[in-house]
Amino acid sequence: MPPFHFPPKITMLLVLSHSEDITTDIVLNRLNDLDVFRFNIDLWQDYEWFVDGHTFLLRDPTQRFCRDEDVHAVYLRKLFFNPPLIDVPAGGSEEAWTRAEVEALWLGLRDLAMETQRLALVHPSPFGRWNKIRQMRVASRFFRVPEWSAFHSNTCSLTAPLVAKSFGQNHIGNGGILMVREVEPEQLSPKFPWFVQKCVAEATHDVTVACIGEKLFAYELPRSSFDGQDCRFSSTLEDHWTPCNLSPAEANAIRRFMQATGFTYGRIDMLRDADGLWFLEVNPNGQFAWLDPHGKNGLLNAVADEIRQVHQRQQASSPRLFNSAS
Amino acid sequence: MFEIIPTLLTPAMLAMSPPSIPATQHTYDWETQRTEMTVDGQFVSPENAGTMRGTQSFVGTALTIDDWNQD
Repeated sequence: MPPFHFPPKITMLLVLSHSEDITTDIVLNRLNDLDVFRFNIDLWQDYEWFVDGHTFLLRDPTQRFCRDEDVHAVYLRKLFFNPPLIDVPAGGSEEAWTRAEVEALWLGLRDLAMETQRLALVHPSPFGRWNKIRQMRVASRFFRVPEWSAFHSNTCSLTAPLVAKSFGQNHIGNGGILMVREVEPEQLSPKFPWFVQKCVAEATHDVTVACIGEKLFAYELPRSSFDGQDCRFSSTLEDHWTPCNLSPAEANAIRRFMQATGFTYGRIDMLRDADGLWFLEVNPNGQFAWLDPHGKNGLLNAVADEIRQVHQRQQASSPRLFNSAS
Repeated sequence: MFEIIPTLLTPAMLAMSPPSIPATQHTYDWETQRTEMTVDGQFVSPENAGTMRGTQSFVGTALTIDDWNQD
């Protein structure tokens, strides 16, 4: 590998992403005042890197550098390879092994940034993992949560109407994903693990709330605008999510829930009926740009501001909390 | 007479595949560190593409629903 040459010290935002992530493009358009190094995991073969116990050095094909000591903020977006999923034999494969090693590096940089207080907005919770079971249990202290049950064999305690859901988003085969579907519990094969939830038949809207620090950006979608139970599989190409208001009590409950999770960012999915909101889940790194693609509601600027604040905070801190390679 | 025995549902039977919509062509510009997108040869701005449709986005030709991606 050609030797790294050390350019003058600069301050930099490191973005961990993939090359087709246009949300990163949109956010970076609002951070033009920062020097940025975009580390695209799908293009990993085009980069050079060096990481050791003291520092890291990254270089892209334009010879743009990123040094540990120059990084004042790190923003984690989405780590997708291209293609995102590959077939892996039971004995493993070199491609799968390589992807895992590369992803470990990207996440290692993320973890290092969290350790040194440079990780902006999207970060793991300091209180551990928040799978949906934990989310729903904790959320019930702040919101109505539709009754749910995870079961195996003929042990479902709930009665119809129910929807089947999944805890993850693994593909089931041929690219299929188990979406939210209305089911009768007696129809479900007892050979599989199931996660079902009471159908909120009176719900009139899907609501999603992007939580950017203390700022909340709420949007709604009439359930009459799509078929079935899952708006993600709408039969129309255009979903019209529009900004909506939250009552002071709802906003307070959301902030208290987010505080309980330890997340700075989250996009909470909910349902609304005549009596208010029902909690469904929080997505700790959920997409958001489609809600305000032209920046009319302040959501994109709020994201950019949160990132810039971390960058500026590091710039202002003295002595530096991190790195030893300068 | 046949007796119709109802089939019990498996997760695969409840699966759905994303609707077929045209994939966007992406070209990465290393200088600007931005993605240039075209659909049928026409340039598309990221603002007009948003994240495509809600939480769905393309990676290559694979349409991905990627909200639940904590770590």
